[in-house]
Amino acid sequence: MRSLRILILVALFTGAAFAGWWYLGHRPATGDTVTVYYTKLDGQSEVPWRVSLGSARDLKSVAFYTATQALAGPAPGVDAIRFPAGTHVSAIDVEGSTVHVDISKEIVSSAAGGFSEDGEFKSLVWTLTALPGISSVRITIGGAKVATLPGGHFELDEPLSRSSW
Amino acid sequence: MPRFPEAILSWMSHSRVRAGSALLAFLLGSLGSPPSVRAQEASAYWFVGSRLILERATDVRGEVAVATRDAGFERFLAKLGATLAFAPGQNYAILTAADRRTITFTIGDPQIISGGVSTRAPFAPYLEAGELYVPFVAVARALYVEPVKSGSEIVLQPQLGGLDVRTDARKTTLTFRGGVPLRYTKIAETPDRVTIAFPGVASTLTQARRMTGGAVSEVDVLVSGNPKNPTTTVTIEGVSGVAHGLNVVPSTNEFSLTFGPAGTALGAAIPESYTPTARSLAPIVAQIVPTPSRTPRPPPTPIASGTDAPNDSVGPAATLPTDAIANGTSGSSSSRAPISITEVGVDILGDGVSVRVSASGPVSYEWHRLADNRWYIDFKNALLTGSGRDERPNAIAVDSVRARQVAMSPVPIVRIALSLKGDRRVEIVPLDGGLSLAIDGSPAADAARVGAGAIGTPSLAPASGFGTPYPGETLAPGASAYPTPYATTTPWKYGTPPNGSKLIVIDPGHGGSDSGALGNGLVEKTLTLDIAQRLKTLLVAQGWTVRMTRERDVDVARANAADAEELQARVDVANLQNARLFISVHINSFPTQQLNGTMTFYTKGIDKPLADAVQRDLIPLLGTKDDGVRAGRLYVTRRTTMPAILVETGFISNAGDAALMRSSEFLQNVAQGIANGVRDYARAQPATASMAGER
Repeated sequence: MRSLRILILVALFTGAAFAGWWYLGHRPATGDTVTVYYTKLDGQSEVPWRVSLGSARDLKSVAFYTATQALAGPAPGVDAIRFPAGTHVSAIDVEGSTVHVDISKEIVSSAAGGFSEDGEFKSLVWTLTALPGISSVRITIGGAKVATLPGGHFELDEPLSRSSW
Repeated sequence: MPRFPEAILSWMSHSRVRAGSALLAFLLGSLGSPPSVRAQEASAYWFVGSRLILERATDVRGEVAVATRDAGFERFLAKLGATLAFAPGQNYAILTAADRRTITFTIGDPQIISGGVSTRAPFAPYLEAGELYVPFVAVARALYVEPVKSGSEIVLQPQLGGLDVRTDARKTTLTFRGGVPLRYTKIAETPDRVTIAFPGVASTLTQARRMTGGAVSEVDVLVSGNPKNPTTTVTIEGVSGVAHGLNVVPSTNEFSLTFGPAGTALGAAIPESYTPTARSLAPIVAQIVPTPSRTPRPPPTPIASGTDAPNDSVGPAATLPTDAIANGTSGSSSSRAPISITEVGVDILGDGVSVRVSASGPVSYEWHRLADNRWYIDFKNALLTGSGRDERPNAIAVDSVRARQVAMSPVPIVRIALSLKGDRRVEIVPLDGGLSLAIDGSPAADAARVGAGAIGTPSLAPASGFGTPYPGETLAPGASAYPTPYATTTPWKYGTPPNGSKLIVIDPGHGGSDSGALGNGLVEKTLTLDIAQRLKTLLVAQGWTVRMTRERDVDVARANAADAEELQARVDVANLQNARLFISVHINSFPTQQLNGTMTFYTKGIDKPLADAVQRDLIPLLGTKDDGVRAGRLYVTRRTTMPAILVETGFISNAGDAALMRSSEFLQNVAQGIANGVRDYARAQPATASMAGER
């Protein structure tokens, strides 16, 4: 009887541990929509807009989707600081509380100033750190770690968080 | 990240798709239809002057599904300037159109979200053998391409598909979005009425639209021609008394005009005609690519039969053996296979002109400026792909641009000759795999008459810019890495500097192989050097010792160095000398006309008082918009150990700011404003107190 009780307790504990482990790996990111931020032309204010999610709700898929939305920017008529045309997410990974975003090389094709670069990355970092459990964003360009960007020399050597601004 | 549950999910999504397909096959089979999926069968279309074949297309319920890695589909997207992001294991695929709209697909979900608007495709995207299949027609429509039956053929007809109308205050901005880069010809123009023809696109916007409440009263769209070669003619009628101007657009798939009261800033004049080149699919500034190497373009994919589009000028050199690309080196290597000049493109940038030259491999050149405003550049051991070019751009600075094969033996020579309107400076800007000739409004004055260089080798600028003596200068033995000729002094006026430091390092942004931003016929690296030189004179007069990170148009580290290496070299000038202050001068840029003004960046806490002082003194002198002092994670301000700022003088991309930056009075005022700021800062922050507890 006693051993059965222990067995049940162990089974419950194992089940709870497994559920926790599963949850940490597949935290549901949000409901049916997710918040993406864009930077207004003042270079400082972040404006949220809601976008609908498809069926995939695991954190990695949602991170990929929201990062892609942030890189593409809001609807064409909206005044926003935007990444250079054609810039897209090449790959994404979630490492604990950090999202690693690999951005395509179109980002370096434009010799914009530090102002644009600052606004672009602010939008991306605000967007991804709005996801549950995410606090920082590590950036690589074309698969490689870069120290800075060519136009305005915004620094990308360390993971960015909201406190980077 | 746990792997096991992912594997389960992935298996679940596979099995769901397979079950769906099986059910579909069963349903259709029971109706006596042929099998629904006809794999391996090609789908042929006519698209922008050539045949497009989708080899890996299948039939789902009578609709075409295409594999996203199909070569024909990839070519279709490339021609539309669209990119597809899909990583295996993701449930989303995202298309980014040339006009920046995001089109989102979810595996197993027929909803397609395009620019925030949801439409329903005839079937959901699905995975098969790890390949993503998408509904082709729905994708095409989302990219403003409409399939039209013409006899037995299906023509994929690019559309003038989107029209945004924005009215603010008394101005109305109309932006048309096309499926392809928009060519156009101006048919008629008066201040309040414009008619533009867009050849090669049809339109679904065909009706007159009356508008109220803005500066535009009516927009008429008319389509003529035949399905393979349509033309859309747009007439925009303004309310009485308005004028109009052409806006800078972030992609060549867009065309944007603003109507508003005459006398207000409304953008540029509309050229008589405009043809975007294949390179200009990307924004104009995209020509500056810092990486020095260039991988040769692969040969065309064999499935793309038929002729290419007429304006598709980027491509492999048809006339040359491919080993020319690998073997060609710079210099007088006449024994080697010649390289080819694959593209000579002319872009009008504001008042200036940019001539882009692409080469298939390294090649040396020599240029000459003649007394009668002619200028030419010869590429040695080079062949011109295609016939010669003769362009008469409708520009203020340039009359004509001609490209010719002027010699075949003993060494083939390609010459590009410019006929300039008056005394104009021609700037050679190195690019990845070529160069650009930038002609802005500035006079050549007493600039050199002859020069030489090479594409693909670092001889365009000295291999090591900083620390290399100028011609006629010599370094004393044992001199420091940073020789003294740059430093000039007059007696010190402001207290006792710590560590004897009365040194200010001025950093003219960009230089050499890195032009910085381009716009309105101006080049950032030229403006920053001009301002820095003026600033140096003023600071020396205040009693500072001044060192510049560069005094000429050179790279500070080395040509085509990585950005961090180049910037670290600039930071080192200040850090190793223990400078008191570091001032970097830059020109801002933005993809549209919308932004203007002057801002000063800082990073560290000790930077801010200097940034505040400089911005405060700049604005009243410049009369530009005050964009304020901003904290930013910029390399040079973050890595320098002393108070450091980066001044963004104005926006090169804004016609108003650019017009100001053309005047030497304005550039002098920038220098004066910064110098005044430094003076005020030094008075408020005695040097002896400034070094403790910083950062």
